[in-house]
Amino acid sequence: MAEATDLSGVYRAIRVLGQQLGTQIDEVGASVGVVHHDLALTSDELKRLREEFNEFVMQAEKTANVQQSETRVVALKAEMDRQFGHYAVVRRTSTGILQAFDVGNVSNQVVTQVSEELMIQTPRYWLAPVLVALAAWSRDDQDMAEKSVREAYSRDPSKTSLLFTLVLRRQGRAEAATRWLQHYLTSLDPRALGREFAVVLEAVSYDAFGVHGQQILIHKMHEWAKVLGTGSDSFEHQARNWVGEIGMQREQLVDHEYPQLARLAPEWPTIKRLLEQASALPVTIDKYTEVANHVGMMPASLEDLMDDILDQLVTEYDKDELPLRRDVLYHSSVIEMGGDKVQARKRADQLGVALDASMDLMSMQTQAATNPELIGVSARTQRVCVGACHDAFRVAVGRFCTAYRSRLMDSTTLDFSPTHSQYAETYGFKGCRLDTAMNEQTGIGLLKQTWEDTFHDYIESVSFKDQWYTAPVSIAVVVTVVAFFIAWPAGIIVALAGTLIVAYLAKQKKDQCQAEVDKAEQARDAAMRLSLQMYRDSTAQFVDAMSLYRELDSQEADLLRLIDTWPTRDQQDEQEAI
Amino acid sequence: MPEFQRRYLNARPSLNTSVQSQTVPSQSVPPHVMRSRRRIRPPDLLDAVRAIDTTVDSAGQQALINYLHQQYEAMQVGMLIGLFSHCYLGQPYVDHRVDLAGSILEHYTATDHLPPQFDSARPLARTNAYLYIEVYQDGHVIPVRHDGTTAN
Repeated sequence: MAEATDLSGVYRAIRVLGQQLGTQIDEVGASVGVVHHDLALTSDELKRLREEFNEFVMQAEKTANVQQSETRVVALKAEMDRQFGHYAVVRRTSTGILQAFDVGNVSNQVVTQVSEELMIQTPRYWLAPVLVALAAWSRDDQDMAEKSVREAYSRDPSKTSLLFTLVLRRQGRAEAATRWLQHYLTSLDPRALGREFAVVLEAVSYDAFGVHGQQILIHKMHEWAKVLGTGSDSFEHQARNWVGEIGMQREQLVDHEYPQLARLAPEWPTIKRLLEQASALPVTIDKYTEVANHVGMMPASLEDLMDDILDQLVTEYDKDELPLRRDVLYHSSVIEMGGDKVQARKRADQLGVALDASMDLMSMQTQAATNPELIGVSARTQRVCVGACHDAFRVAVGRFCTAYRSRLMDSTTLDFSPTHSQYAETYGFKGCRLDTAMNEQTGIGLLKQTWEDTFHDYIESVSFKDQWYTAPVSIAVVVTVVAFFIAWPAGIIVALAGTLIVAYLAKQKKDQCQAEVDKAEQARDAAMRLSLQMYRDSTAQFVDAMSLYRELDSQEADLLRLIDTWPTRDQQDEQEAI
Repeated sequence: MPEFQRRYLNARPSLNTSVQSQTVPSQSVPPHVMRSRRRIRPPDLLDAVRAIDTTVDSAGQQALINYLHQQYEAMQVGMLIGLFSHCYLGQPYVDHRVDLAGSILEHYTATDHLPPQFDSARPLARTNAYLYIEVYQDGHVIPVRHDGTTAN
């Protein structure tokens, strides 16, 4: 037999080795964890660093943008000063001369000298010859005045004529002011009217330029409307706006005015809408009659507004300056927004709109006619503008009425559903659909017949039936048989008792059924009466609703008459059309 | 008088105020044709339309239809399919159609089906606001008022 070898030492050594190996693996694991953590930390730091770097780059870019814009603004302003700096002198001088005219404390000689110098120094600028003309006018030099006016007009017809319109009106020369008003209107582009036109419109509507001035403006507005074209997109747009305006005048009908009709007629929403739409006609008539009859004195603020326009005309930038002004506005916005070019562009665009805000004639007319407060004109101007766009208003009335009339019905269905009354729900009404166009007797007959059928079925269902006996008799027989098996005398007693009990229960059930039948018989008349009342009420309410509808609807003719006889309609234009 | 009420604080009803008119042409109509369609219809033409119901002999009706056909051709209003209006012959007829091209006058009862192009004209013939309704090939439906003005 071989000698046994002691391997315990080897086992121990292997175990120790295993433990050491495990410890070392743990240590390596921990080290890997540490490295992983460090790596994540480094990655985070790198990310943060990159963000900071990006932020820094962006900030640097913004700072550079601001610096560039600051430099650019200075350069642009210098350029503006170089190109148009002398315009500022003319503006200041113009304001000064107009004030001097008001006060009358400066000699003609000085005014002439200053204005003629400016004329030489500012070629192309419209205001310089205007100054010379004003100076010549003040010293009665007609030849010089005319020459200068011609020159100013050729440089900027719109501004020159508006300035003379306002200056002459201020000096009480009504006739000459009206002539200049005509020149001003001729020089305008109806597709792009400036904000000042709304104020001129307001002034003219208050007869600031006399009745003749108002006629000139009304006629011009008609002429423009023709140029822009009836049947064109802008006319269609105007007509749509008017349809919307009439639609806004609708009143809301309260359902409880026609309770039975609202309950029974499935077409009630259409009937209601018809009434509501038609109600817009009298409300529109009321609203616009008030506008047509509006008589108001020219508000004092309008005089101030006209002076403001004059001031603005004299001091505002010339259109030659606009590109440079826009650049300055953009770069100033870049500085203001801390170098953010995107935000700066948005701000500059928003502010830029104010530099040349303009509106086309149709939009201005419609806004002034329907929402005068939006463009800040009074009811008086609204009156003029309604007259100016009466064609679109007329067309809109026709379309508005045609649209709701296309849903008009002769009659309506009356749906007596199984839930139309409490009785109908209780007795399971079979349902019946009538029509208001139906002969009343036929309707009543149908309704009665449906109730008769309903009650017949109901009474049939609640009446006592012999089948009721099946269950109690079966039980009694089974119990009696069992009793006979136990003892025959007991069987006889149980049979007698069972018969008595069944007879008693049947009597009770019969009474109960009879009570139900009696109750139904009594309810029959009441239920029928209620439904018939509902039928008559709903028919009458339909007649009432249609009568009211016709009354409201017939006012289309009155509204058209109001438009056709609008006080500020261009009579001259009408005659030409005829 | 039934009660109408403005919503709170004079706010406007929130319902859609846009008008989905059924009288809008399905095809584009040249502007000069649209202008012709908007013109006031001459009194002679209106009288001829009024006379349709009161003219009993077929020769007289035919003459009226021919006259209307000529008038409309002269007005250059585009392809007019026919005229539709309320019928005053009494029960059972409620409305009628004048086919100008085919020289046909057809009366309808309330339950009769109309040619599909005339469907949108029927509710308009129920109102007495219009003398008649013109129905065009391009889908345009133009109601004509008693004074000859159009509502389109």
